[in-house]
Amino acid sequence: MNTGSTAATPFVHEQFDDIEQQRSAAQLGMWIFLATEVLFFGGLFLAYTVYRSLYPQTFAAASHHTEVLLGGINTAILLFSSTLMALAVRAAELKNREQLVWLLLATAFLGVVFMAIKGFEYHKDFVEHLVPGSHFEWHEPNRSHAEIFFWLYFAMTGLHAIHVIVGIFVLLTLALLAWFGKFTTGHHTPVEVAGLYWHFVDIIWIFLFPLMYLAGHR
Amino acid sequence: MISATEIDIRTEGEIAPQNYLSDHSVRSWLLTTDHKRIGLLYLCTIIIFFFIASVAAALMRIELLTPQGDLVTSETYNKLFTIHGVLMIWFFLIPSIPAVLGNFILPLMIGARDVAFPKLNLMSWYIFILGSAVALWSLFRGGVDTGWTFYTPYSTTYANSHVISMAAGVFIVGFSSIITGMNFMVTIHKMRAPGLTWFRLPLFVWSLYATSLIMVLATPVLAITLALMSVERFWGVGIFDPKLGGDPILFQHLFWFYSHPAVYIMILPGMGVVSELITCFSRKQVFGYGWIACSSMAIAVLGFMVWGHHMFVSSQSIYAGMVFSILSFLVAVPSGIKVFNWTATMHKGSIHFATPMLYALGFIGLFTIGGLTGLFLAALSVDVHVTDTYFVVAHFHYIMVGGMVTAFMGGLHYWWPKITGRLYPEIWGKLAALATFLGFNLTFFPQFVMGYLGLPRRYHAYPPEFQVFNVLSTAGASILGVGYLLPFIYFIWSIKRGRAAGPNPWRATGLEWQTPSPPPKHNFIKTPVVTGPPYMYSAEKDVDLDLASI
Amino acid sequence: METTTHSPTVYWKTCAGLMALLALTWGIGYVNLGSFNLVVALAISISKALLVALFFMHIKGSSRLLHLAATAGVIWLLIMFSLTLDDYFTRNLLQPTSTHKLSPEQFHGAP
Repeated sequence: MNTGSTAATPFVHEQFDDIEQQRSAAQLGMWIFLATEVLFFGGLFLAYTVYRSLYPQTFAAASHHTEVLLGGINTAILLFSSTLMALAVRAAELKNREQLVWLLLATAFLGVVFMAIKGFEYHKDFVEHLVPGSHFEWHEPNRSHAEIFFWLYFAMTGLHAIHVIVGIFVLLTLALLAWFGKFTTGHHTPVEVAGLYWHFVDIIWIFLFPLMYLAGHR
Repeated sequence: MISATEIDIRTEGEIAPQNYLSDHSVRSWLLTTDHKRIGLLYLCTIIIFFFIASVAAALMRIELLTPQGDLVTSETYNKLFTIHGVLMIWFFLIPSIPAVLGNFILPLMIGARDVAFPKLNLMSWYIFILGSAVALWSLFRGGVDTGWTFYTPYSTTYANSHVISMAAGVFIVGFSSIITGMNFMVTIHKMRAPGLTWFRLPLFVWSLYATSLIMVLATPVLAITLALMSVERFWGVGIFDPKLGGDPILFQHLFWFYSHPAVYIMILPGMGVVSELITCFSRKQVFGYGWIACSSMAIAVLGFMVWGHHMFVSSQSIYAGMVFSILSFLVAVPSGIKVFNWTATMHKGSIHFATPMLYALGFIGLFTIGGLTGLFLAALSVDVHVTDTYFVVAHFHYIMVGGMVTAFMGGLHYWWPKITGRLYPEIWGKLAALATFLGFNLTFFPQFVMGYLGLPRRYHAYPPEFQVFNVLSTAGASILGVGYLLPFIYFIWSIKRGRAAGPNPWRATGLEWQTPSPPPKHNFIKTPVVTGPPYMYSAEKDVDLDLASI
Repeated sequence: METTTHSPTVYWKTCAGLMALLALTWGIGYVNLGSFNLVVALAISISKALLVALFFMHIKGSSRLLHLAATAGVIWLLIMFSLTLDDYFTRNLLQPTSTHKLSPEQFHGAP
């Protein structure tokens, strides 16, 4: 709520009264953005659900062509990176500059490892002719249904990968700013809000892993 | 009662010397984070699209004067109605009241210095410009002929027009709408003046909140749907192609999950504006404040559950059709509540027929017709008879043009003195309001008849027995065109020549009137304090007030 | 100093829980439970998502407004899923009872 006075601290933007109002506005804004993201991915999850219910056997068969070991390792990496991110927010709140910088860098690094493994997987899929299109090869029944599975696989993991890449750049920027003490002298809202985003990206993957790699038992 | 204590209100008929318009440099406009200036940037942008889309409509109306397709080919006609639909919906109606009037008025109404995220607000305008540029590029390369709905498999496989670039333009402006919605929601939650509790908020704020909810939760689904459609068209692989085991109906589900709620983006803010106008020009407290506020939210939520009524004649399951039909009928309840409450507000009020009020009254009548014919369309059996006929065209124009555009014009007239500090010529305003109302009815009422008699939409030629209706419709469109052109002329005239309005020409309550016109950069000289409910009008207080002659 | 974040122990415990659930979902992927494979996998995913949201994203201990914002996306997702799937799951329930076709004259109601 407005109290009618303009706070004089340099961290408060002119439209806000105080740092607390600014912080809670940023948090709410990010949560609303995440709700948007839920629906953004939701369209793809809905398409997946519809086609999996129409073609369950083919989806299970196609899922067996994914690299479950790499997918599982990637899940563990993202979960671990989320833990580091949560610790980074705590470090920012405790104004521990050095720890904050290292934790942000470590989180971003795990994101890079995730992307490297994902890239390796994509390469493998390409070599095995699993990319939909004229290149696609399928030696089991229902070729076009398997193609739908792989189209969704690439669309959903691809959209997720774009979010990871954006997250890596955000984290690196924050690490740089944190190095100059931006978040340990006044407020740390940007770290908090970026953390929410990173955790959300993690949650999306938590659902993608069983749906893509473990559809039907192996 | 809103206390105006210690707030410097200048005397009547003066332009505030230092205001948000004082800096005239181009740079100050392009880099502004002032919500008022961003609102005006949006206004200038959407007017351009309104004109382009109107030209498309005019060409169609001229073509339809005769039963033969003699002015344009059927391909060109397809492109005309697609351009008209795409531009009017995504580049004019969706941003119209929220991004123009909402941006300008919302922070003023809640006593804030700006929206919560001013830089994001400016970014949303730039995103809008980028999307507009892409859409115009698509238009100049030859346009699109899919209809605004981009239905698959036509759009993905068979259309020979610039589908992907137009879809990309719509995709991009979607993000500007998401940012605006997010910004408004946070602003309403976090930036209200002291004492301004939720149930003291002006009803326009409630309607903007409901609209923002839809923008935030529906738009992403449109974005992903258009992305899927475009990729499918580009690479020939995807999930909507029935030849490859895909289901084109899924496209319709995803598309209408956005586009039906989007219909409410295109009416809820109008309802909010009308609530402001009716109370002010009836000099009465609003009847059933809580009901109007909550019905906005109810419409926003229910609006997400009725999209299947656009798909009654697709191969959607008949059971799903029944569910969607029942849910669609439910939307009539909150809509009805609003209409009854506006009417009850006017009852025994001291009504001033000033220009904004004329628009508001027009809105109530046209919206009621549009809403009631919506019930015809929600009924499964009737819908089968009139699907894809002019009945549907008439119905949604009554809501979107008769409703939203009328409310937008009303709101623009009402807040024009606040925006520019000057009054428009009242007599011309009344004339424009009248021309709009008459022209609109003459344009679209015959289309109800044609549709009910079975004339399908989207054809450039038609059987000769429908010519008389089409000629009436085209004649009406000409009058409607004059009704929209007049304000354009006298508004521009009034910027320099209009009489100075003073801070509160309408003697309205509401915080936006408690500050000079045009408002200073940060809106209020001193943050206002709110001590009571809104709309504390009383006819006794201003017996000799004649707002209509202002 | 009063913090809004939790102690590191909470985060590490959450991490351990997440890893255990990951192992569980991975392991169950190799067991044939019929259609229950999907149910179990989704139940585990939801639990993991809840752990992340509650502890890492500090939903636990934050305002009711944030709870509302966090659940809104999920509620709207449910609306989208349930009303779309009610089409797909009931589409074949109603079959034509007769193969009799109308002649064009009957169809247009010609005298």
